[in-house]
Amino acid sequence: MPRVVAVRLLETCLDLTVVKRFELESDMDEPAMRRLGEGASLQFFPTFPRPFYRIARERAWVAQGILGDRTVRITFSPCAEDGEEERVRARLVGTAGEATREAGEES
Amino acid sequence: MELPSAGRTIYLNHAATSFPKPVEVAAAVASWLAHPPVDAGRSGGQEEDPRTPCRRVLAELLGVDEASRVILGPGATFAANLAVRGLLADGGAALCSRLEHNAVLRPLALLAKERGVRLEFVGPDSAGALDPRQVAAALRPETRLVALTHVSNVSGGRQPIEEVCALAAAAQVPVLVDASQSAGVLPFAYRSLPGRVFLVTSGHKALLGPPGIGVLVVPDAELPFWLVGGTGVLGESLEQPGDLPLRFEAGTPPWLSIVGLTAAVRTLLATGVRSAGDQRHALATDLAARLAELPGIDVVPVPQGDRRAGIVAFRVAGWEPHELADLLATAFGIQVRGGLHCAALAAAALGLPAGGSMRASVGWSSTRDDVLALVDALALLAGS
Repeated sequence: MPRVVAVRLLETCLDLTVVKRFELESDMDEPAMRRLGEGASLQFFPTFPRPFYRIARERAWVAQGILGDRTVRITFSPCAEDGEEERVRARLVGTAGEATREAGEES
Repeated sequence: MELPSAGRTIYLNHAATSFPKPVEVAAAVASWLAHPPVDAGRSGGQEEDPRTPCRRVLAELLGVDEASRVILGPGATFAANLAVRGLLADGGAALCSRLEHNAVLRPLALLAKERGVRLEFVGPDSAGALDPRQVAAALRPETRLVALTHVSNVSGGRQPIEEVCALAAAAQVPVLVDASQSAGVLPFAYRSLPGRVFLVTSGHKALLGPPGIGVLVVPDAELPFWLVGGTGVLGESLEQPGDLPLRFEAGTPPWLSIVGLTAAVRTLLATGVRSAGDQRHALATDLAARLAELPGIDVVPVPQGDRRAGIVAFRVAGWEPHELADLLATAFGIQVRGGLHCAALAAAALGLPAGGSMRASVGWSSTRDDVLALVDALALLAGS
């Protein structure tokens, strides 16, 4: 259950697309990846030199990264609803409550 | 495929900046840091001003007859601003290709806003080349500047600077040539370009120098200047020295970058620009051909018969370029670039979607294995 310990803003595009890097307390594992992919489109490439996943939630966000890494790169669509970032955190952790009680987060 | 280790990166982003730098560059920078600074003209020493050999080797490489015409500054963007703001100091109109980098476009756009400079854009055609006849048709009596990149930093397509310079010369209009992607790659001589030509290039791309230095070659000392300050000479005067090159070099020079660039250009001169360009052309042509055979990949064309300067732009179906660049970096250890490459007008003119394109760019350290690694990675993605 990787908790988000920091969020770094990587880029803000002219069209209001926002790219962020979520830093996790523990490795991104397969259950968390599957959880994040629920109701979304999950592509998983286990045969790549490093196992890569890409999860796209239409009109909301695209999350991608390496299974086993402690970072996830998330591109938030300008169409994303308010609170979408919190919902992503909740999906990663598996419980909506914990995601809002992180200490020392940056955004 | 081998798992990329932490220290191993397949670097195919030379159009952004060259990596690694030749060992001579690091040695020159380290030597400069380890010795008392030589500030010729300011502290009364007898050492040669480090800018002098830098201008000399650049003049040799770029085919400039007088080294004093080689102006050194903190970057190609600065150099482009010097030229654009100087040439359009009194307003007028500027003719500009849609392939320009923001280093040229933004100063022009700012002058359009501040001083009412009229901007007119031309080209490219569907193959990514500017037709000189478009320039001829668009030249007006009030045109004060024609701006054209030598090689598009988006597509890698070479542009007809010789023909455009000749047309502009006939109309007595100065030309700004952005050679940031061609200097050190394509053999050409500044002296062979007809008319009043201002040439801009970056020091840290194919010239292999450190970041923090750019070059402006000027045809004369007539360009109005707008940045003034200390020059180490004629300190009793409140006016900027009027002679080249100090006219355009106010303030403390970027010494580290200057000594690094000097060492870098010396290595290039020893290798030969033609040889360096041949290597890039061969690798880029091979890469483009292999990518074109993969399903779901569209390679951005370059003008027919063009000599590739090392850039291969492409799109992969189903992937936004910035997401794919991240995939290649994290999963395969391959560094390329995805996006608009600071040239949104070029992307649109080349028919690219809003997200731009992937750009793989080979350089002096690139090998055939690097190219094959990228092709294999994309083939694996296409087959997944």
